[in-house]
Amino acid sequence: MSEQFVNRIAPIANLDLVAVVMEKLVNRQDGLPGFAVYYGPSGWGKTTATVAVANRSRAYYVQMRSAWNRKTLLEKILFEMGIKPTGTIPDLLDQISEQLAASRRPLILDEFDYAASKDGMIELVRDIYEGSQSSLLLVGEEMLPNKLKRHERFHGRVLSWLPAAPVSLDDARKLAAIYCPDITLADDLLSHLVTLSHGSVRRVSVNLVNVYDAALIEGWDQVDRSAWGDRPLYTGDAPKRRGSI
Amino acid sequence: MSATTARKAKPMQSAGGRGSFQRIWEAIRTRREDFTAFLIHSDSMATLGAIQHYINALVKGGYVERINTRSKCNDQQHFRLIRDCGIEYPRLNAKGEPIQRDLCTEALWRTMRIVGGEFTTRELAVQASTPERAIAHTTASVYIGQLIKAGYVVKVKAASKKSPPRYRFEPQRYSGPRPPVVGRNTYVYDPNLDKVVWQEEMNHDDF
Repeated sequence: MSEQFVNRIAPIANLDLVAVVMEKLVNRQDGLPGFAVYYGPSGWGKTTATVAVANRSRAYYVQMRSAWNRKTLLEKILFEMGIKPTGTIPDLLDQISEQLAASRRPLILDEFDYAASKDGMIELVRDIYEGSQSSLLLVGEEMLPNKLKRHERFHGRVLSWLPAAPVSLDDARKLAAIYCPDITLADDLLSHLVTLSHGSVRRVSVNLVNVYDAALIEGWDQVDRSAWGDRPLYTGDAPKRRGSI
Repeated sequence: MSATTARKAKPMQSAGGRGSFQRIWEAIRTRREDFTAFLIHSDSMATLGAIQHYINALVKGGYVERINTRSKCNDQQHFRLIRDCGIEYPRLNAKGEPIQRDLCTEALWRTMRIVGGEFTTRELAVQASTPERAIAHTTASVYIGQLIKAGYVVKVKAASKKSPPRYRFEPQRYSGPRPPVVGRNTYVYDPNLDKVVWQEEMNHDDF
């Protein structure tokens, strides 16, 4: 098996960041807090990094929803653990804590913003941690740390705050190898894509696919900014207002 | 009977289908301090052979220890659980080493669910791989082919000359954390539902 086929995930900076923090979290010393918060705007590669970490540590992954109440959250976590939920909220909490403590597998709560606005939910998640002393990774949007700041007792239990890294030129090169195979992209075009993306890995990837399609049509082997000219690129901005109607 | 009824914690039970190893493991966890193969047999209804085989693997793997020495041939060997790893039974070979095989489909199943959106089999294999355990592209494409038959995955774009086909996972079909099992290309079994979700149709003409 050639390296080309095995190693096709772009080892972008975010992946390493989260992997390191997760390792730190799982192997932390007794007494250190067990939460890590991973936050950043959408499209910055949070999900890709989260799934890589979840696969490495066989973590239980739960994506939160705005409509959930305390009992739903517990039931969903138990569902994810493959345990039949039986009994009242305290019973469910005990079952989750027991399973987390015994299996030593971390718990990842994605879209944690939905819980951050509700005091009851925050306290419940803290109960899960206190009952199991397990590792919890909370993933959310850019404002998540500010929302958590209101909860003093929760805030203090966070081992590390991890902002998602914006896409870099280095990342763009790695992404280009995947999305634009066999085509040489000049650095000026890549850095243009990075600037346009406002940090988003997703937008860079979308534009790389655009470049690849154009290159196939035009028969380019290498592309730079001048060859690209002013062809449209995806910026993610909402369309401008049209002229007077 | 005492007048006050103290609430007794019910033992946890795993959801979905439970194979014999899972039933043995749950019986061991319930009796954790002291058990024999016969007691586990009466609790789990697994065969004694399977129980003894699995307990041996657990002893070698360091999950269970012997707590008495047999001096007479009709002495029962008693055991105790020393390392509890939760509700899911540890998958061990006869030497007590963990089996990695099932983790590949589990990773593919998990990755499809978390990532959402469309993917090619190659992208999926890459995202589900970890540095310690690479997943071959063929593993992913064979598995996806079976999941399509069972309706968990749909093909959204056919293959063209330039690009491979793209697939999408049906999130409403996510039945639980355990990956569906593909059996010899003739059926797909979903352990979360404890149901065979797809079966090859018999061709009666060939019989």
